[in-house]
Parts: sequence; C-alpha cells; structure tokens
Amino acid sequence: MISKELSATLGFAVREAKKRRHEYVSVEHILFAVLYDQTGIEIIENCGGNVENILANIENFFEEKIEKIPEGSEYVLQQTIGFQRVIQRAVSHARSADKPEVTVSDILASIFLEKDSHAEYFLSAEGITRLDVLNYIAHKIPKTSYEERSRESLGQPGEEERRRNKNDPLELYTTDLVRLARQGRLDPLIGRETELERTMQVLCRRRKNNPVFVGDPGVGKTALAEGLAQKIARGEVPEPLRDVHLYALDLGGLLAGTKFRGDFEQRLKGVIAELKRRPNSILFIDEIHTIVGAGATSSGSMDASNILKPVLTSGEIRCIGSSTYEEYKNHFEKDRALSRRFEKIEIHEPPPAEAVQILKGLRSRYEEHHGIEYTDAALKAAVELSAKYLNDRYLPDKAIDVMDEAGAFVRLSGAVGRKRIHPVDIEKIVAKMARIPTQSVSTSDRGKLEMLEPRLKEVVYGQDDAIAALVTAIKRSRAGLGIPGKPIGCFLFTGPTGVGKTEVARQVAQILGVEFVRFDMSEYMEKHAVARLIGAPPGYIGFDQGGLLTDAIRKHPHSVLLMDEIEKAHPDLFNILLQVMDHATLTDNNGKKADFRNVILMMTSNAGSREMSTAAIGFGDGRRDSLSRGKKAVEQLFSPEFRNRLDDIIQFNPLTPEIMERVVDKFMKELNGQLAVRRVRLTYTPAVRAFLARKGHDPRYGARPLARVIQNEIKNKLSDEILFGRLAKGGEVHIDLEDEAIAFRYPEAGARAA
Amino acid sequence: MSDKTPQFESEVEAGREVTLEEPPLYKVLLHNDDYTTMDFVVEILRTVFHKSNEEAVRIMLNVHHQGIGLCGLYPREIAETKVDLVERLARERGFPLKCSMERE
Repeated sequence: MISKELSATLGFAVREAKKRRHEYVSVEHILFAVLYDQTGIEIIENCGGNVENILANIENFFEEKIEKIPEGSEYVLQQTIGFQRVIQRAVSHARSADKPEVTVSDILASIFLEKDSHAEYFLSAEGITRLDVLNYIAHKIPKTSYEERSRESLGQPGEEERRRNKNDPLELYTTDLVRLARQGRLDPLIGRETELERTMQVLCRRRKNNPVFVGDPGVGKTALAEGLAQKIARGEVPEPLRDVHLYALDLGGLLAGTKFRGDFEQRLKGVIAELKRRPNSILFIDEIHTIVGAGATSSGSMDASNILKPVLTSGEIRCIGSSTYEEYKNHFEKDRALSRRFEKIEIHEPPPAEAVQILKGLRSRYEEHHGIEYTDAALKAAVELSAKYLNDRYLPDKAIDVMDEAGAFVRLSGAVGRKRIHPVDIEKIVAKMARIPTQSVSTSDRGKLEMLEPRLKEVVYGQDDAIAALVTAIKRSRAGLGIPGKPIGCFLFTGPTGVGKTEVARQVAQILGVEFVRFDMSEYMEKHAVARLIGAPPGYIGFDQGGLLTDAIRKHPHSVLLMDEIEKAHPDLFNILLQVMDHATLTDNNGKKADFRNVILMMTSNAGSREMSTAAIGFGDGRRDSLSRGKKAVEQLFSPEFRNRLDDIIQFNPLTPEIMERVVDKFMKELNGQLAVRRVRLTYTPAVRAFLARKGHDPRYGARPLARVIQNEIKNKLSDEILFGRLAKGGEVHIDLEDEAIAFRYPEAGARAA
Repeated sequence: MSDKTPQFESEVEAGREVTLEEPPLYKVLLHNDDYTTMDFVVEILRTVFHKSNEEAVRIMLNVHHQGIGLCGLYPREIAETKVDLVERLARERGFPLKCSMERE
C-alpha cells in the first residue's frame, strides 16, 4: 500500500527522530525527511519554495521546541497522533482515489491539513499553498514564474549554477550583453563610429557618465548598445572599458509578478546594489522613458527614476539609455532632474549608402537563416525602395525587414533550387508592404520618364506645349540638374475650364506611379481654413491631429500635389506655399517637418481665362492680345514673390474644334468601356463625331459641355434600351446622323425581328 | 514629472498579504479529582512529562490545591499525544484522571 519511496522516507524520519533522541516522531520529522527525498524536493522547488530555508527552520524547531531524552536512558520512540493522522489521511485518500500506492506527494498534501502544525507553517512561510502542491502533483503545473522557467529551458546555466544564481538580481532581471556577444548571438554593428566613440567618451567621464541614445524607432539604438558589447567582448575598447559587463535591464521582468507595493522598487534596488558591488558594470535600459513614472501611484511620488537618480549622479553606476525623440521629449525630458544626469547622444537615420553597408554586414545572418543568397543589387534595391515607399518607418530597420521578408517569401514560394534574391523579388515585397501595385514599384523609373510625354499626349489633347514644358521640368529634376532642396517642380496651370489641367496632374501621378494628392482650394477660402492644412493652433480642437497637407506629404513624400483652383484660396495660403516652393519643407503645429523634396507641386487656376475669352475690340492680333491680357490677370492675382518661385506658368489653350473630335473619340471609348459591362458595343460614323464635336464645343468651357452633350444625346437614350429594351441582353448599337439628329440602329435586334 | 498615469497602478494587489503566524504552543493541564492517587499523578508527571521528582510533586500539589496543574508547553501534536497517553494510562489503572490541552 505504501510506496517503496515513501516507506524509505518514513524510515528516514524515524531514524532522524531517534538520532536526535526525540521522544516522538512528528509531522515535522516527516517534512524533514520529505525534503531529503527527490520527489519532495522537486515538488517544493516547483512550487517556489526554498528547500534549504525550510530545512533550516525545521532544524531550529527541533532545537527549541522538542524535548530531548537525555543520553543514556532507554526509551521507546512513539508516533504523535498528528503523525498517524497524516499517514491515515494519505492512505484513505489513496484508497478513495483508487490508487495502488501512497506516495510522498500524498503525504505532502496531507501535511497541509495538519492544523496549527509547524510543518504546515514552514511551508506557508515559503509561500507554498496546498493548492500549489496539488496543482503540481496533479498536473505538473509549476508555480515558478514564466521567466525562471524559460531561463531554465534555455538550458544555459546548469542546475547547480541556477540554484546559486536564484537570488542574484542581475541574473534574474538583466541580460549580460557582453556574454551574449561572446557567444556570438548578437548581430554585428556596422558604421556608427562617431556615435560609439562619443558613447565611450561619456562612459569614461568621472561623473554623470551616462549616455542616452535618442533617435527615431528603427535607426539602431539597441544595435548600438549591442555593438558596444561586441567591442567589449573583442577587447577593442580603450583601457578604462576593458572587461566591463553590459547588463541590459529587463524592465518587464522587473515588473512581472510584483504583487505588493514596493516589490518592484525592492527588485530595482537589488539590481542597483548588485551593480554597485561590481564596479566594472554598465546598465543598459532600453526605452528608458518607461522608468519615469514606473511604480508611482500618483504623479509626483516616488518612482523608478527617483531610485536611480542618486546613484547616477555620483557616478557609482554607469547607465546607458535609449529612447525615441517623441518619448524622450514627452516623458524623459519633463523630469529635468533625471535628464540632466544623462548625456544625450542623437542617433540619426543612416543615409541610404550606409544602410546598404549595414545590410551587407547582416547579409550572412539572413542568408544562413533562409538558406538563400542576396545579390548586391537586391540589397541596394531593398534600401532604395524601402526609403521611397515605406515612409512611416526608418532605415535601416525597414530595409532589413524587406530583406528578411524577401527571404521568407522566396523560401515559401516553393521554387526549388532558387538560391538568389534579385531586385525583382524586393520590388514585389515592397509593393506588398506598401500596398501599392507592383508595376509602380520599380528600381528604375527611367523608362517611365521616357514614356511620360507620349503617354500624356495620348490622354490630354491639344496641350502639347504645356505638356512639353512640364515634362522637361520633371526630367531636368530627375537628371539631377534641378535645384537641390526644392520640390521637383512647381507649376501653375492656367487656362479656361475643362481643357485638361487637372487631368494632366492626375495622369502624371499615374504614369510616374506616385501618389496623387489633391486639395480643392474652394474649401480653403477662409483665413482659418489654412489651419486645416498645417494643423490647428494649440488650444483649438484638432491640435493633436496634425495638418491635412503635412500629414499627406509625410505619408507620401513621393507624390504629385495638386492645388486645384488656387485662385480661390485665401491669400494666407499662398504664404505657406512660398516656403514649400523655396525650401521644400513645411512644419506643422507640432513642429514635425514634412519633406516636399520629392513632390511635384501643381496648381491650377482659371485666372485670366475670362479676360482671354472676351473678344478684343479694335485692331491687332487678337490671339496675342488675349494672351497678354491673360498674363496680366495672373500677375494681378498672384504676388510677385509667388510667381517668382514657380518653375513655370503653363498656359493651357482653349480647345479647337479639331481637337474636340479627338476628345469625342476619347469619351466614346470611355462610354464603350462602360457599355462593355452590359455586353453592348457602340459604333458611330464620322458624321456623328463631327456633330458631337461641334455641338459640344465652346471655347469658354472646354471639353465639359461635350460630356453633357453625350449624356443628353446618347446615354439617356441608351439607358432605357439597356434596362428594358432591345439591349437588355446586350448586343450592338450603331449611331448615325440623320437630319442633324442622332439616330440609333440595332443591327442584331433588327435581324432577329426580320 | 510626467502627468501620465502609470499603467500598472491598478494591478498592484494591496493588502492581500496572508497573515502568517507561527503556530501557538499548547498547555497540557491536569485536573484534580478525588479518586486518582497522588502517587499515580507523580508517576505520570515523571514518565510522560519527564519531570524530576521534586517538580512532579510540586505540580501534583498544585493540582491538589488549586484544582489544576500545568505540566508543560508543547507543540499541538505533541500536546495531543501526551494528553492521549495520560488518559490511556489512567484508564488502564482505573483512575478517572482528566488531562486537557489549552492554546497558550
């Protein structure tokens, strides 16, 4: 009934009592014996108890509370009633559970039910409850924190070492980066020499030797700390930093499992005390702003940063922090007493060339992981494309992500034997990540530029001069001959309504494959509306939201920005555009800058078109006269400093009847596209084309009246037929001109009727 | 100081600390009656409670005069065991000696 192991344990308890000349063998003796049993130790440790502690307590109890029979006199060892009860309970439990044997674990569970016993007290003092024990016995669910277990499963420190380190706060709440570096588990750091040098200088100061890295997320602040650890590991550091240990503080681990007020602070204190004990150590706190306010119940009370402050000033421990600009400003810098103890080292986003070097340095790691090779061109493409299309993130992080994902993509695509990653793969990944069509992401847009002019002429008619001027300016900028620090181009399109000014802008964006950002200036006629573009001033609703224009450009730095009908905008808005055109930056109310260097700024205006359309009275070249009058109108409307900054004022011509015929073809093609959905095909004669062009032409209104004519004359008639009539099932329709009116013929329907 | 409220404030469990007290010791008491002999009480005190002769007599007289006598302070289970033993021995010999334990 009683297992072999248990009877050995009980025997040990009895022997122990006898050896100590105790009158009785009690529950405490059982516990004592259990703590020398393998199963017993396992249970206690997994429930978070310290075996040594309990043993010491029992020993103490034996000394103080238990009577000893003097040496020499004979006596019979007796069992206490408690002893019998514990065994009895365990046995009856095993019996009712249909277990063949009573084991040590049953005894342990039974001890807990012994009221007022010291054995139970000693276990409780270690924080072990009966439920913990039952949980472990029944399901092998240990009570120890996840952290400790995961460390264990990593299997680095041996059992012996782990037990020794259990109370070492550095072991529990920090990671030794230098050790990781020695084990080769850190990625190499490339470049950043000046920042590293500065860091080492600050670390070697006598007081306030605490650098804090501040930079945008993803630029490599943590990597810099890891790089320092690697340098230390390799011994490539100046004398004062030799054999230094760099401990990365795990703030989460410090916080996890703190139950009571003060637990967190106690652990932090423990870490600090341990660091003080080891003079050659540096603490690295990633996301250091999190220590401001950590552990405080209300603002102004004691928090983690206040615990750190005294030791930081005195230079007793050295500390490296890292934080992003935003959080540094919002949290860290507000605690001025804390921030003055740190030396700020700004980490900037590396230029693309350096990012390529970084990727090359990391290449081998990723190649090893994915079992694939990256070509140099692919790495370059990863940097360039991610810089261009993934705008809310920073180099080198985003480029590394692209590289990594490309590796995963090729490996998952199942292409057997594929061993290399080419720029094409990178393009696909970037397109996916930026959620834009693949064809618009391409490493070389030379082809696109070459095709820009012919393709623009295909879709916008009669504006060849304007298109040529625009394309030349764009090409000039792309060829590197533009003025650096300015937008790619700033154009003002003037001309009558409906001649294709807006269309040109839209088509340029589409052909170049960049974002088309359009603002209709009729919405910005009031003075206060300007705030919508650059953000509301402090104290007003929407202050924290940023401006529409600045946000749009920050999101899509490569874009065509169209300000439609600019003459309607409030004059204040022109002033904003002045600096955009001059320095290609716009600062919003939060001080964040939007970069306009890759923006093509286009503005359209009807200014002057009215002047041009009025017929000249008197003699002279009517056309030239109207042109100069149009120019004058533009000059009147826009201030000299505004006009001065424009690359070109591009005049759009009114449409002539000949051009109108081409426009008719374009519109009919669009109509056919719509009809194709209904399986209807439309054909028409040249006479119809001429009729529509004539009827739809009005030099003052451009091509828009034509759309109205087509709607009235053709679409209205067709819609009835498509819904209820002869085209309900699709078919063909032919239109011709009869007696100055449009006539419809339905060849198929007619044939069927006949 | 930041005016940001710390995120984990509400997660601190305050005051749920388990009150952990060392278990009390128990007094083992002998009660007077008119039928148990003094000799037997002394014998019990000497064998069960390991008292010296003089001490045993003193405790016995305490029982006799004051109706109750303190035999010693023990952990609960040991006290229990002794009470049980005393009463068993008394019954064997036909004495109605009453022994009890009391939380200190």
